[in-house]
Parts: sequence; C-alpha cells; structure tokens
Amino acid sequence: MTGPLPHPERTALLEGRGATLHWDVLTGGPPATEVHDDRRAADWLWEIDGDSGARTLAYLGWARAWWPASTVAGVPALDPALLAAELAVATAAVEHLLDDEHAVERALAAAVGAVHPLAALAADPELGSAAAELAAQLAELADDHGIMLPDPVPASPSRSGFALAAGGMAEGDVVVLRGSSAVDWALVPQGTVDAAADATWTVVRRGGESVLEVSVPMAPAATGIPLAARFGPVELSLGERADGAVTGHAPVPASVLLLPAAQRVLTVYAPGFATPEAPADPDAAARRAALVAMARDRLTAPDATLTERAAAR
Amino acid sequence: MTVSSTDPDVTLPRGMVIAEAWAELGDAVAPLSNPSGRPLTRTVKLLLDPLVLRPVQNPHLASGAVATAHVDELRAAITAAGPALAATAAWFVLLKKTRRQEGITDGHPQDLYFQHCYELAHQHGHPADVPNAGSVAAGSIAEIHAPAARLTVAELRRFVTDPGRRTELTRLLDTAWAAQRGAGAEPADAGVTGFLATCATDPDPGLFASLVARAAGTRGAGDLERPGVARGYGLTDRPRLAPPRLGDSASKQLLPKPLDRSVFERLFAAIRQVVADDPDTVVRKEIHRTAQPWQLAEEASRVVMVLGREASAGLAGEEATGTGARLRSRWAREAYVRRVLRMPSAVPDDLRADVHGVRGAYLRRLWVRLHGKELRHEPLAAVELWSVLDGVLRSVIMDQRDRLRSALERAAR
Repeated sequence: MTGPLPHPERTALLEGRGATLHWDVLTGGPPATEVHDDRRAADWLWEIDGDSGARTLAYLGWARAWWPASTVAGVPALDPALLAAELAVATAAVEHLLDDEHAVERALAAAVGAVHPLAALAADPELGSAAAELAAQLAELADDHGIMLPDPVPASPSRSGFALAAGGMAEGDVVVLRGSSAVDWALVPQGTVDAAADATWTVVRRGGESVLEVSVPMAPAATGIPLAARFGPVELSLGERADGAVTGHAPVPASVLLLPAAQRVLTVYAPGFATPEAPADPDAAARRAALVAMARDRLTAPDATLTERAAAR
Repeated sequence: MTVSSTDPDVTLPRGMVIAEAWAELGDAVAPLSNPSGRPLTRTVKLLLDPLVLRPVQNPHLASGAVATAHVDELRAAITAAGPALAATAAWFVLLKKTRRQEGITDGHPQDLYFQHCYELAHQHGHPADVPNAGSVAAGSIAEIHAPAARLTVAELRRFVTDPGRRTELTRLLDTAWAAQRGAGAEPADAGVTGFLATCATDPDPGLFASLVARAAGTRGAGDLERPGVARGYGLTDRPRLAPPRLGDSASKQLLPKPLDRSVFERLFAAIRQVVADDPDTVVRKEIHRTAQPWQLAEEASRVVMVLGREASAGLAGEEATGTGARLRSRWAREAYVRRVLRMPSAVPDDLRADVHGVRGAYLRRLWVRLHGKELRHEPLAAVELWSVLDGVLRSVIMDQRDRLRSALERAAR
C-alpha cells in the first residue's frame, strides 16, 4: 500500500482487479494504492498515470456519493441521471481493469433514464454539443450491451416552487431555548440535507407544554427519504416539508431544559440509512467546509464534467 | 511502453504485453476494444483466452506476469490471430447491424455473437471479401435467436404436472433417496488445504485432479448428514437434509435455500443454464442429482464445494491463510468501501441474514454456480478455480450493494 487512505468523504475510489486506488479529491496528486492480488493488479497498474480515465471514473463515483448540494453555500444539486450517464461512459472506458466484470451493464442499467435530460439539454447553446455526444456514446454502449434505452420524452416543466410554510412558530409561543447542530453527512444519503447548513432546534412553551421544534434545511432537489432526529433522550420523526426545510415537533418533558449542554445536541439521521450513533469526528467541520468549497470551484473548473456544467447553469 | 528484455528472470505484466500486441492490430479490432484501446473484458474472456491464448493448455501464458522467455510467444499468438480477429470484429459489426434491423433486443450481443463471429471469420474470412456476407449474417442471427432449442419453464411445468408421469417421477425420487449414503465426518483431506494454499497464485492442476480422483468432494460431504451442519453452512433451513419435493411451481423472489428447493425449483432457478431441450432427461438427471453428495452430480463440483467450505471459513471469523485469507480480506475491505460509496450503514431486515451470515450467502451462491455449470456441461479447470472462488464472493457483495441501493431508493420515493 502506498500512503495512508484518505477519509471516506474525500475519497475517489476505483475498485480495480486486484487493487483499489484512492484519490484524495481535496489534494489531487497520485492515488494511494492498495494491492490485494499482485498478479491481477500487475495487468493494469502500469497504465495508471496522473490524468487517467480511471481517475475520472473514481471522481464521478465520489460526486455520486458525496457531492455537497447546498442552498446556503450555493452548491446546486447534480442531476443524478446525467451523472449516471457520465458514470456509464467512464466505466466503459476502463472496463478492462475493473474488479466487477458486469460493471458496464450495471452502470448502464442505472443510466437509462438519462436520455430525457440529455435530450432536453441538446438545444442548449453552451452544453448542447457535449450533451449530444454523451447521448450518442450512451446509445452506442447500450447497443453493444443489449440494453434498451427509452425514447426521449420532452422535459417535464420544472418543479414548482416550495409550498407555503406550514406549522412552525405560532402566536403565543415562548421560546425557552434554541440552538443548532451540524448534520453528520454519514447519517443521511447524498442529496437529502443541505450539506452546509445547520439543523436548528427550539424548545418553546406552548399552551402550558414544552415542545421541541426541529428544522432541517433540505438540499436543493432533495429526495423524499424519511428523516428523524434525536435530541438528548427525545426521538422524533421529521415529516413536514415546507419552505426548503423538513420539520418536526414533539412534546418534551420540562426537564429537557436541565440537560447538560453537551447533551443538548441534535442528531439528524435517515432511519433506513444509518443509526444515530456516530463517533466524534473533530475534523468533520473543516473537512466538509473544504469539500463544499471544492465543489463550488468545480462548477467553473475548466475540466468540469457535463453534469457539473449543467448544474451550474 | 516498451516490452523487451533479455533477462530470463524478468517478467512482464501479461496485460501490458497483450495491450501492446493488441494496439498493433489497429483500428480493425476497434469493435472488440474499449475506449482506452484495450481488448474488452469479454474479448479476453470469450476470444483471446479460450480461442487464441488458451491458458488451460498453455499455463505459462496464463498468469499475471509472463516470463520474458514467453513474451514473444504471447505477442506472436496475438499477432498471428490478427487477421482472424479483424474479421471477427467486422462480422460482429455486421451481426449487430442485422440485429438492429430485425428489431431483436434479446440477450447480450457480445456474449451471444463474439464466438460465433470468430467461427464465421475462420469459415469465411473477412466479410468484406464475402459477396453474400449480408445473408450469412442474417442466417447467423436467425440461428442464434431461433426460438429456443432450449427447455422453457412452461414445458418443464407441463412435464412434471402430467399426472401419470408424476407418480413415476415421485417413485424415482424415493428410490434415489432410498440408497442413502452413510453419515460421518472424515478428517479434512490434506490435499484440500494444499491446493488452497496456492490456488490464487499457482494452482496445481495435478493436485486438483488427484482430489477429484480420490473423491475428496464426496468424502467431504459426509459431514452434511449430521444434524445442523448443512444449516450451519447456510444451504438449508432444516436441521437435517430431506428429500426434495418434486414441485410444480416456483417464484423468483421466494426461492428457498438451495438444498430445500424442489426439483422443479432447482431447474426453474437455473433454466437459462439448461442446454438440453428434452425435459425427460433433464428432470431425471436432476432427481438423481438431488440424492448425490452435496446434491451435485460431478465429483469436480463436489471438490469445489469442499474447497469453498474450507476457503470461506475465514468469512465466519476462523483462522485463514492462502485463499481463505484473500477472501477474508475482500470481505474486510467491503466495510470501508461501503463508507466511501456512502451506502446505508443500517441494513434492512431482508438483507441482515446475508450480511451477517456472509459465509452462508457465499456457499449458497457457490452451489448455485456449480449447479449451473453442471447443467451447461461446463468443465472446471484448476487454473480457473480461483476466479470461481473469488468471483462468488464478489458476486455476493455486489448483490448486497444492489439490494442496499434499491432499499434506499424505495425509501426515498
């Protein structure tokens, strides 16, 4: 193995036959290489150099997992269908060195929906030719692998704006305590929660009761996966989506106010995805800020991918 | 990249030698290449390995490193095959075009056509030199996609549900199981450990052949007759193995564990592997197979089950060396890879048993794969056993990832 492995959140991973390569998306430079099977790895390791197709594939895989879409930080969401198309083409380019011999079919199966956004982009003065080229590559790949692509249908009108706010503070509420906590990326799937905004909590007195209100800013174009939160001993599900946030509330015993500050921590998580037990990660804030900044730079980078350029429009 | 050395101890990566020789074949083989200019995985698997380099017969051309003494031979083999490969590529393009014109969407074109195109290349040469190439291609497509000379599920069901025959088949099943083999665990064959020690790096065909010859697979199956053992391997949910039912229905989503499947379910699950078209032979053979050690018909398959059992022990936390250590390292790596891919760390209920009992998932898939190979009449060569043993674990892992992803997608809807 060469060099220490970067943290999973900043790792662009390539699962090659007999070896895995780990690029650090924050630092660039050559990948850390972990060889598991000398003979298989020797077949292709010699051809890996700085700007190889292998790195492109690994980077796109990183974007699919960790792209920090955020309204507050100005990082638009990537279109998952476009990204899947780019992943399929990048997979095919280096299929000879991948660990999974069905990698191309798998990637293609995930990309069939891309024909629609690609068709919609075809008329774009700036991205049209790149979109047409990607569409052609995808079609040829699908043809080679016997996978049927659907006929493109005209783009559906863009999603309407956010619904009006519901719930939230009511007249007569008295705010007793409030605070905010960062959301741990590892506890929610990509593209769910705004990657740069904190979740906020408020304890209010309402009609003689203490109520905990939680609000989590959503990522742009967020998926609808159910979220929940834990605050000290209190568990609540977050079910109301409005105004770019998902919110929830739960009655709490007044004793919640007596919790030591260290326990007045809000943990947001997706129950089907992770459990809210995460080890302390003192580097997380700096690392995530750096990843958000990197993603923002990518949007205007000369080698930005079509998906990134499309998101930046 | 230069491939030349006179030092006899020096080896070169096989992939590098192939890549260079391949590059010299130029654009003529582009349809068999990927965008990096390398032969496609399937080109290697279906054409170069079995038809040009033939590593089973030429083990010195098989490994990841080729001794310089053999580099020229490897290059020469590819260069000599150049015209045939160019013609194969041209036939492939033509067959794909014909396929499109005929509106055929079945199957994987590379899988279905590559070897057929290689035959066409040998039979007719380059299609550009064949005046009626178009009709040859049309004939090939018609032949390849001819409505199966293969058994279908419907035919199979019709066969086993015929009332008169059912009685006879049930009796056959009883007879096959009446001649029960004795229980008893024999001490592990030392050859098993010996073969596994170098299976991944330098497989010993002689040792594998001797394991088959002395029925190490059959002898290693005695263990399964003891209560709870086969269940411990994840092959059954029953405490003791029992004769299968004949069965007449099956559901892809609800298949029992392999050794709990009815005769019908076993064939249903593997229907694409069945190369015979006569249900009578297929069903009778399957009935016979269910009563054999490991419920497999070939001794080589049984030996591979014993090898897989030994090699997968490390997945269940036991001490592992050689092949077993390699499998364990793949599984150990998976936890990290899942974090990098941001896969769910919470495992859905229907997947928990497979993730936490990965050895069982492994042995089930290995059994299914060997069963399929028997139905396809595919031999097992010592040099490819590591790809079978390792490929099964990879396949279990990829399947788990797919299921984790789709559980997440369902939740997001």
